[in-house]
Amino acid sequence: MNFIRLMMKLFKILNLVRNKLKDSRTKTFKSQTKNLILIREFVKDFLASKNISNEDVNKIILAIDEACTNKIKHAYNCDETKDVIIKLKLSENEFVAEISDFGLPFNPEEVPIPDLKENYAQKKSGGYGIYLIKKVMDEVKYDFNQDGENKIILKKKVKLNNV
Amino acid sequence: MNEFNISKKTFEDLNIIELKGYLDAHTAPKLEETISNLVNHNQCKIIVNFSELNYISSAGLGVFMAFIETVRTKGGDIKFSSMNEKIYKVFDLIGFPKIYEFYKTDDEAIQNFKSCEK
Repeated sequence: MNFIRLMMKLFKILNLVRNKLKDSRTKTFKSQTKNLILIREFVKDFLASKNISNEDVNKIILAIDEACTNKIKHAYNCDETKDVIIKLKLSENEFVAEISDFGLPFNPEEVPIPDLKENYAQKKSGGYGIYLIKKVMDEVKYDFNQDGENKIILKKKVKLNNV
Repeated sequence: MNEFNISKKTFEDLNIIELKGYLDAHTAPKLEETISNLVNHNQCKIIVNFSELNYISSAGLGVFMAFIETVRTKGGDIKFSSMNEKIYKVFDLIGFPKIYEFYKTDDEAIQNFKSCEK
């Protein structure tokens, strides 16, 4: 009887670990714009089984694309040999993405809100990415550690579809 | 992987650019080159058809912003047509509807260009 109880407990723990692993995924991509399509597929694939509304899925994919584009272009200055590390997590209805690079520190807080009138006159094609990220995510944080890792943390409470 | 394609056609003095696939920081230079070629040849009346575009990021939006002032100064415009809701939402987030005109079909955009000539 004790053995059965022990086995059941073990099975429960294994299940918990399995679910935990299922709800977080990490992948490293080379710092190349041609990988953006693969990055979007990676995010889409992670979110696919989570029953999240299409609108939120689209917003999350856009935010991660923009964050990775910034890292490729600004942190790594288009050096294609470098790595961008993406970690995705979902606990209950909160989605979290942590995207890291080891390039030049870049503080998006210093990026001004785009002024369309001015950009129109100046024919400015860039500077919209961070603004878009902030528009579609609930929380955007930055973390720079001593190992030279620059991390952007994106959080969003997601709407779940009714099953 | 054929992730982004542009096809072009003309109607009288109008240029219609049809976008297909995914427009991001990797594929945006292709669109930039296409519009730049038109503008350099003074072909400044441009309609962009989005019916087969599946995705756009800010790199794609930025291309239109880079040329709009120039084409309008030269008497033309960039008008958008056949955009689905998902793509329109990204344009809307940046506030582009204040700057650009959106039409349901190419025909409506053509009619608008024609009515401006009168």
